Amino acid sequence: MMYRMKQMPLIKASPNSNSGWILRGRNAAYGAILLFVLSTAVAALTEHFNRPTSTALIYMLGVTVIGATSGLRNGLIAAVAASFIYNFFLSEPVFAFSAMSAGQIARIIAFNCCAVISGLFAGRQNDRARKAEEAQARLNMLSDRLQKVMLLPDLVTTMNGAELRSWLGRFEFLDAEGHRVGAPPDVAWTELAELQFDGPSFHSERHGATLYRLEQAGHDIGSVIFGDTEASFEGRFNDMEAVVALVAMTVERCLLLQQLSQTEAVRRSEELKTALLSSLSHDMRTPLSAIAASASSLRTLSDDLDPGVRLKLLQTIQEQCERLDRYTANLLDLGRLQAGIDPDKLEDVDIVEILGSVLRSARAQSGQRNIRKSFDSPAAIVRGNPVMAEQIFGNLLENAIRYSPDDSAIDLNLFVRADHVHVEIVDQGCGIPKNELPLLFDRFYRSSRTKHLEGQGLGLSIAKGFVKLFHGSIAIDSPHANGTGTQVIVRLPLSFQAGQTSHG
Amino acid sequence: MAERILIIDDEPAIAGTLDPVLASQGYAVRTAHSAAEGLAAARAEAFDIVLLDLGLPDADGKDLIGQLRALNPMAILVLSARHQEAEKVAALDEGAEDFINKPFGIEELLARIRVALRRLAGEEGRSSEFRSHDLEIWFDRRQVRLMGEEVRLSPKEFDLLEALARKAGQVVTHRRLLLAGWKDPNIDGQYLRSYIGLLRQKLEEDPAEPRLILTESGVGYRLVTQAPGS
Repeated sequence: MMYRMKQMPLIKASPNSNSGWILRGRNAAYGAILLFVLSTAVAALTEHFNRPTSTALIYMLGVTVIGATSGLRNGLIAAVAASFIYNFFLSEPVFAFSAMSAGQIARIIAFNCCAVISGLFAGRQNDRARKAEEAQARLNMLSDRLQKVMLLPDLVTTMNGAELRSWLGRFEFLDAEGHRVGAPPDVAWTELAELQFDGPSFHSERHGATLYRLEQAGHDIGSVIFGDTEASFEGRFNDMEAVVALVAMTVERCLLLQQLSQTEAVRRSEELKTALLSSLSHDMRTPLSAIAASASSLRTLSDDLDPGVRLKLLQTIQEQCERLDRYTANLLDLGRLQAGIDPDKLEDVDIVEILGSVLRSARAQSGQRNIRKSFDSPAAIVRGNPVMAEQIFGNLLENAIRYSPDDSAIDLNLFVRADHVHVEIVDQGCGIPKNELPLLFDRFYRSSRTKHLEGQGLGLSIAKGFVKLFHGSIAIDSPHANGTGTQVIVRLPLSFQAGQTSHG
Repeated sequence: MAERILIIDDEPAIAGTLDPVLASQGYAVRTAHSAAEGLAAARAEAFDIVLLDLGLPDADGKDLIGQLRALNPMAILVLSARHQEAEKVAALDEGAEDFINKPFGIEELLARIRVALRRLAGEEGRSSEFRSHDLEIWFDRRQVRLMGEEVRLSPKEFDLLEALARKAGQVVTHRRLLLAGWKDPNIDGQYLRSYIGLLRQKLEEDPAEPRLILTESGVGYRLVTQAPGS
């Protein structure tokens, strides 16, 4: 069985499922009465002109029309009514329900038989048309619902929605490898899915379900199972081919979209790699430039340079080497984050002590910025790793220094609350646009306000990764006050044993 | 009078290194850490040379080039860690004189500054000849001598060599060379490559390892004024 999108007829939803010319309900009754009055009048007229044979045919026409337009039941009623009217008005004696001769009785019986049979056929024809119309409406509904499905689990959810489920029964989808998508496992159906069979579908009485294979352009794209339902059993097999075709189209669309998003993910990761390389080349070359310029000056121009300048150049070389070392450390951390950390290797770390050492190196880079510290506890022990902890706060302080103006203040606050330690780092820098906040922790993300500044966008993502390893959380609030400044809050759970040691 | 140099670079390590070193070579040096600061300094006094970093905190250095050049005749040397060819070409198109890739040695920077200063001085009287170690060119007579020997060049070869020699020591972009040789910048670069190849055949000792006409990948060509190492 092949389902190709192009071969699918377009199913259009009709605005009203009652087609205009088909008479229903009360209208049908009025129509029938009108038809009979007309038929009787015409019959009486023909009788008047002495052509009695055509009378029966006129009534037969009336019965057929009613059967065709308003269904089997009305057709039968019309046939019986016609035979009575014929008897009463037209057969001798006129205006009485009686038969005069054997010939007339035979004529009435023959008429009744013909009327009933033609009413029956016409009515059934009409019922079929109506059923087809209803099936079409249901398929339209199914097609509308499936239009919105973009992911395979959504397909399963949609198909198991109340309305569709009562029509088509419980639905399951199995991908090409036979894995069930989206629905909880069902032992009985798992067995059904593993059955070997020929042909496009297989109905199992025992499981009360039918399995259909889905193919698209000759490829197996999975299979679907529909549970049997009372309500739809009679009509479903006529509709099933169209239903399965619609589902197959939807599965194909989901698979294509999935492929697209994977391609997109690969493209994005390539972009990130390119971004890393170009940012690395910039960030590595800046300190390298200073080193190269200083070293070559010392080598070739040494005689022209004052001792003070020579010392300054040497200092520059040393500082820039340290800077390169920090970049390298960041990159190594990134690798370490990806590898994860063994929980057994976590140890008790005093955050107060860590902050002390971080502050020492931060003050060296901070220029005219005033770093103010406020700790409400002499110790705050958490489970972690001292090198990583230093990296967390080192990165955060480095950001605060880099993105805030000279002469501004940076606050470093620590307070211990119940079972957690909070560390706040508040700067008075340019802040971060609100819409960029959710992106900040993305690897390589750099704010639009700071794109021109040096940095690989790794610091925050590393800090967040480490905080997570310590089972803590990190949050950023910006702008913090007066529309400027950024506040970063790190919250780490205190070590249980630490409670005793820190107070002991 | 000392030539005046303005350094516009937000990186303190670089500005801080270049400032005393250039001063020790007799230049009058000023430093600026942002585009705004640099522009203000250039408005306040005239500079001969601007050393410009393209990645400034408040603006893209490229946008500064036009504004600076509108102020005074000056040579703008772009210092940038950006190794994207498109960036360099854009900076040169904006009117930068030359570029120096970070990291660079001080000798290279000083040589480029000297070339730029010579050119700046030469602009008043457009010279009619070019002389650099073994190569002599007379522009009016369209005559070229290498180590005293006459070299026969086709008209296009001479046009290209003239374009390079008129900016000797500095990069000349593909676009400028195509304009010089073909009067059309949209010509296929393949033609330019083959003509440069012909010139190298005639002028270089070893055309496979050129020492006179250097390739600046993706940007253009540079005619060196001193043999490397001399």
